[in-house]
Amino acid sequence: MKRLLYVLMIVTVLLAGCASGGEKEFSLSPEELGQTIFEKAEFTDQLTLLPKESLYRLYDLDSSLVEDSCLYVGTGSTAEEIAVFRMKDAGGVEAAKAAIEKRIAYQTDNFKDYVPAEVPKLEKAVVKTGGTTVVFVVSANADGAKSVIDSLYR
Amino acid sequence: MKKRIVSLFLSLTLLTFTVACGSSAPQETPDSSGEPVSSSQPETSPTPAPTPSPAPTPSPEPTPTPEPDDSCFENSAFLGNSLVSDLYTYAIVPDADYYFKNGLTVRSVFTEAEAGSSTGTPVYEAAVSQHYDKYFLMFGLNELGWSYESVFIDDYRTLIETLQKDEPDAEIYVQSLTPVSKSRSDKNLYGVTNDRITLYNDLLRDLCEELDVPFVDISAAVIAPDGTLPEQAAADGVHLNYEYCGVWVDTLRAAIEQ
Repeated sequence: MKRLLYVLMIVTVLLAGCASGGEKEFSLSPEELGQTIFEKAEFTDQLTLLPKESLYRLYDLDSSLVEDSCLYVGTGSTAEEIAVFRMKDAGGVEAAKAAIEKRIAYQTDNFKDYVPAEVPKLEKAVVKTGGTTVVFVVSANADGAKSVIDSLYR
Repeated sequence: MKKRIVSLFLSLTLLTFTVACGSSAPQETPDSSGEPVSSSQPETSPTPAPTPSPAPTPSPEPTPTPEPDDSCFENSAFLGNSLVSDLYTYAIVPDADYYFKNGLTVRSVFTEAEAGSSTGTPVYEAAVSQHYDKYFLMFGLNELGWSYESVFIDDYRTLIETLQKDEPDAEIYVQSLTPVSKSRSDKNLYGVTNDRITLYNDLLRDLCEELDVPFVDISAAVIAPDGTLPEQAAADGVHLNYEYCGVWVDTLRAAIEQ
């Protein structure tokens, strides 16, 4: 019985330790993340870095949940975009993901009859989370963008 | 015996956390799309690890005129196609309202709702129901492929006259089509050529004179001496970038203030 208790304790502690060690974080600020993705991922459009307050024009998100952000947008010819959300807590992360889903749905509706070639880009849009930071990228090369983002984890 | 168990438990806890938290072993955790991604960033990654710039200068685009007087845009609305979408996104006139959809025409403005609309209310109806003092219309690029330019002008006339009837006290500004780049014009896709844009603008200017509404020549403000849109002004040769949208707004502001 005592042996069983020991084993259970060890398993419990190991699981707790592994969960803690698996938490991923980004090593850069939202501005640095956005800039790095802008420079290293592949885009066909001219992306523009917008002021931080512009985020709330495009994303249905409560600004009080956001600690910091970065937003690059393309012209009306493509759906290409980089958005980085650093949220204040884990609840904010879910809100950011919901806002991204809404943005994808909106852009899909906007482009499906106009430039249908943009729809696959939206379908393959990259959404990555690290701690309380959520990164969203619509690019001309989703796999490449994913690799760039993966390389930015701490 | 209980003390030994507790002691052993505490020791194991400390040891495990020390090892697990300091571990650099790859951890597979799902990303938001459900795909597993390695949390460790290996030195052997095929993608070169980016080096953060010590003094980042992230702004890739120039900034338009700082803090202009935008009181002329109070209680105003922009209606139109994807070019209006750009204006909205860039927030160069943040206090105006915007009603647009990619591909919108002077005809479909009465029937199509904005992207993502939950009500399905047509763009025209959505705008007019809010009763603005000024309406800025931007249409034409999506109509360049129509077989008869007279149909475009007739439909534009219908739009202006309907707006005049529904909003008799409002000011209506018709904005010209903007030129496209030489490379885009040379492709002649869907009738999008600078020759045809010039034709449409000439007809539109006449229509505005006839209906006594201001025609704002945005084209003249962004066009190069060779009669085309500079290549650097738009990635696809059509949709103006941030800098050129700034020129557009400056031109419109000047026209209003006249």
